[in-house]
Amino acid sequence: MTLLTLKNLSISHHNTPLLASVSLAIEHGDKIGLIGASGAGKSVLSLAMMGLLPPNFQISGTMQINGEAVDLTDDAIMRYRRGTDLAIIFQDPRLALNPIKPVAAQIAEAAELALGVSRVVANDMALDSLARVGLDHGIIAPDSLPDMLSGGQCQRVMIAMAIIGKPKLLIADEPTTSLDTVTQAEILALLKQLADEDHMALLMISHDLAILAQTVDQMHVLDQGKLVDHAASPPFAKTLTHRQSQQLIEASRLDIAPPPVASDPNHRADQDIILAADHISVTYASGFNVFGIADSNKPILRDISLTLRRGECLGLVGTSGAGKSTLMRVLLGLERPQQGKVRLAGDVVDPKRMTSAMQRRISAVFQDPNSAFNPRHSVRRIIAEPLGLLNNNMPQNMTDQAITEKVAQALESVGLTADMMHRYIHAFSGGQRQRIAIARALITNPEVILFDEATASLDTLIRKQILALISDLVAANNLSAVFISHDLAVIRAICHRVMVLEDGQCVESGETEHIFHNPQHAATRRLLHAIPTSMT
Amino acid sequence: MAGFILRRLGVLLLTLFISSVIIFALLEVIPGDPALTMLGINATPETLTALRDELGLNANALSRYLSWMGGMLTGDFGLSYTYRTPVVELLADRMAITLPLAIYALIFTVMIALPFGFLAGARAGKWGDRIILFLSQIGIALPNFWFALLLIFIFAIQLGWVSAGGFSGWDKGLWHGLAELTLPAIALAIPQATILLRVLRSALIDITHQDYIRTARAKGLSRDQALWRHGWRNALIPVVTIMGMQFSFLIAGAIIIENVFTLPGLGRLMVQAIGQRDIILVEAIILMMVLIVITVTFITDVIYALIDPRLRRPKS
Amino acid sequence: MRVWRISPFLIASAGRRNLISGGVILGIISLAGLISFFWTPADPTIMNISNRMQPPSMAAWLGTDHFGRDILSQIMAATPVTLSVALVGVMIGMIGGIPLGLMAALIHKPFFDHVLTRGGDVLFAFPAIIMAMLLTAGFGAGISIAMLAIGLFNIPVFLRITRAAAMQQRHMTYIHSARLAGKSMPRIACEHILPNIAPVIILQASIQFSLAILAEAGLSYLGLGAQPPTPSWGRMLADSQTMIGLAPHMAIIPGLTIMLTVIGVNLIGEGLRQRLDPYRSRQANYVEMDIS
Repeated sequence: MTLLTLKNLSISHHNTPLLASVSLAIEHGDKIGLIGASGAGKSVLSLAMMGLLPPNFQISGTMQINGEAVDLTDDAIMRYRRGTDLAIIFQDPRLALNPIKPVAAQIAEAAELALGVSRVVANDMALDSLARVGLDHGIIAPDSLPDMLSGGQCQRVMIAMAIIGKPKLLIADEPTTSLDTVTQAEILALLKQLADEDHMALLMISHDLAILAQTVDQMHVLDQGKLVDHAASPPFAKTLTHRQSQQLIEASRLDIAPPPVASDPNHRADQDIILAADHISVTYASGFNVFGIADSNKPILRDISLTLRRGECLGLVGTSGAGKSTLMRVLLGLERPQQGKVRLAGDVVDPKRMTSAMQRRISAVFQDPNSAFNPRHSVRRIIAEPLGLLNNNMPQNMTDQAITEKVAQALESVGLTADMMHRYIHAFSGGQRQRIAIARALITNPEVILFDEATASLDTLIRKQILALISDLVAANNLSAVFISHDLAVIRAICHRVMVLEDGQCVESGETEHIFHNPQHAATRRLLHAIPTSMT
Repeated sequence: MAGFILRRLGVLLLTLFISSVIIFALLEVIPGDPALTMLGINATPETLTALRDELGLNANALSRYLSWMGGMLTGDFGLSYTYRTPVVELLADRMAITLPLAIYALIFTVMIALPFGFLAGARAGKWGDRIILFLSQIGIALPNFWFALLLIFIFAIQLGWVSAGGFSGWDKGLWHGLAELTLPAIALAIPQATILLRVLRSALIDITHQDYIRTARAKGLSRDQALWRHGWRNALIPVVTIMGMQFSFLIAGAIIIENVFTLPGLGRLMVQAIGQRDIILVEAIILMMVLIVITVTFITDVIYALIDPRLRRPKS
Repeated sequence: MRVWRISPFLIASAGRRNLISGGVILGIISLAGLISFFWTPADPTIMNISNRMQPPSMAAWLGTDHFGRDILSQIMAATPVTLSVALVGVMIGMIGGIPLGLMAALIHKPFFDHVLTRGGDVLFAFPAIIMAMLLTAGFGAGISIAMLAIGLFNIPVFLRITRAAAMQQRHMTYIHSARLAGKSMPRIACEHILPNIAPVIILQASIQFSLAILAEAGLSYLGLGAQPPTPSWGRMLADSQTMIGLAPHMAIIPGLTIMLTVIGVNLIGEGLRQRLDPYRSRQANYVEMDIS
């Protein structure tokens, strides 16, 4: 019997339609992918199936579980389905767990609810379930609180909680979006393995075709609230023919080549090195006594050296916590290392002694497009901010007219229009914000730009556009760039050379293609292995 | 947990030490001669010298501070000039009213704030919530001493149920004493309870929208169950913070309320001591109040750590 | 589940009702206070024993007190005193607390931060009334002592709230960008951080202002505020205490005035909160949150 059928499910909120006539059938043990760009209605669908939408959403259509109709709007009915028939895991696993309750207790609660077992039995089951998701005693203590775990471990706890009631269907809503690629690969493999072992159906929701392609057997494409395409079996690239599907397939292929190096690659003269870091070490104070004096230290970066030649793109790759962002702050002169020196075109970079002439030569694009801009400043003011570095820090030397012209130029160079400069940042989408961040980084005509996970929070469609833009701009302006990412696929699309970081140390470095074909270190191999490739 | 308590105790002692320095220094920079202020202009030179010696005013500031603190630590708070009795006895007598009053008021505060705050927060926007919000809007604006006056007017003068003030001591039994403190405690508690209620309400509303409540519901809990099992303790974190601060308001409020109900507590003693320029007494009372406030802050921190296990770990 | 921040003022109608009703209440009271500088129905200090403890009537709209003084005139004349003590008290707290809070959050030295926050804790252990008593014991009672006591108590309040809000902003990457643009930390504090934490501070200021009005009333009730012959709401209540059985209006009217003023301030605060609270914009974006 069919496990779950949705018929003509339509959902709207304040008369805004979010889903239109979605029909879907899921058999026992099916592994189904649901792909769509942001705003397509993926999360609304998953929450509606769980009966978790707030009451002010209008829902029509029917859902049947094992042939039995269930009323999606009736919480008293739906809550007995949750945990037993249907389970769900979310994006942002850190926020999805109660911060002050031990993780094992949170899992045990799910067992008590789903199976009606006693507290003692539930506790034992929780430990078993933790072991199944790879978190046995050796890895974490069962009474750990969520803030002591990594993002990947939190997601494992969520999975342990979801599977404990032996649900027939597990919905995974962007389960790996906030995780690095290595962790992502591990979580995907775990989900697949558990689904096979328990003969549990899996509904995976993502914006990334590559992620889904290696986990699921069937694929649905959701576009603006409608299911527009369906592939009953792999290879999906051939079966999915709708325009939206083709775009998503196209976006998951990062076939951008690094920009050509302008200078002669054989020329190795010292003046060609624009940015150099020499034996950098950073430790953070951890633990403070009553008087606020640190009593222990934690090493973040250990003896890192790197060089960046003019016209070159260098990739820094590593999992979360490898020290990438700290290294970036050191390179930018935002933080002083305990040991070692950074030189920018021969001058020592020191947070206390940065001249505007030095600051003009280097700029950065940061990850999170939400916190990268002052929400109270207009786009014009945001982009024009670094202009103070020109003219010896005297912005008054520059007329309003000149500033407007420069900002307009910068906006047009990143594919936006000049009339956008008077708007505020909330009016822009994630991709547009990242373009604005790039425009701000370019306005002083710097020689080096550092990109910190510049595409990590974008969906695949936008990610490819931004990467292509960066590649073009680097070539057109003869820039040198450092590109930080946890995703080797992104690095490969844009970097000539790559450096692999693990636990604050450089474990391997070399030409990108060379590393790809001949990885030496285990960390590199893990990163390579984590790239979702199977498109066939 | 032991490490946590030790750390907080260290903070407590440090705060107490700095407070004592501040109190001492403030009374040190007072213009004029304390002995003269205390005795008045008509004092003879002999009595002035005698008082100066008694107060130890002829020594330098550091040694005077040390002897004052030394006395405090050994339970010798000095002699009140106006009452001619040891300060420590005066304090003990008065504390037996002020402290029970403040604690009694705190119990009322919690008993009102927790159930109504939870009801309002869990049913935000519904009728019950609106009525509670409206009443709390009034309660929060109520000057406690005026409310005390109204209570006296209604219950003592109009209805004649209780006496209009005064306190006949704990000798007549616990219940008799508590009955006499009930009206003052209510007057103190209502305005504070409305503040606490609103804190709990908004904490709960905030928590309703947290991801982990959605997770709890995904396990099969109803909305109310999820809020009760996972929201309650999280919501208590800001509530306890505010409660700790409120105890100092209750102590401060007790000073005023004691004057309304003519209760012979620390507050009335304080007002009289200031009126009579009894510096030794003033210093001792203020230090005592600060000690109470700081101790409560310490207790709050411990409760805080009991609710939120994250705080028991050393910070990193 | 990204939350796109939208400008709070886009929700134009949010809090309007509260802002208007609070504004009207506070406006009338302030206006009465202003008028009292030029005109009051009667001289608030003139005693008329034969006419004492009269209930409200056409002759004396709000009645007379135990010395036969006109209550409405006293209430009006006391308004500027209360409002200015509360205002100056909150201002002292802001002027002292905001820069210290910014420094504690932005100067990246744990020791310095601890000294400031511990110092704030110490100051916070002295509620305004205890502080006022301490100061009065030394310098004698008066309006300026009341202002100072309320002000000193407010410094750690604003220190805490500013520090906490600025700490959140400090981790925003736009602060990094501003530093890369060559801006100094004090300049970033003024250009970026202050405007972004202003809503939180304004909200706190409205709360502290209403608390300060209550504190001033309490102080003058104890005789620690404005001294006679300057009228004050708190002392009017103190005077009414022994007469409450004979002339309840003497207690009811000043008390209601205090309460109304505080309600007015609180309504404005509530209206501001509805406009400025990030939670509201989050709620407004609930749909976007779910479908992203």
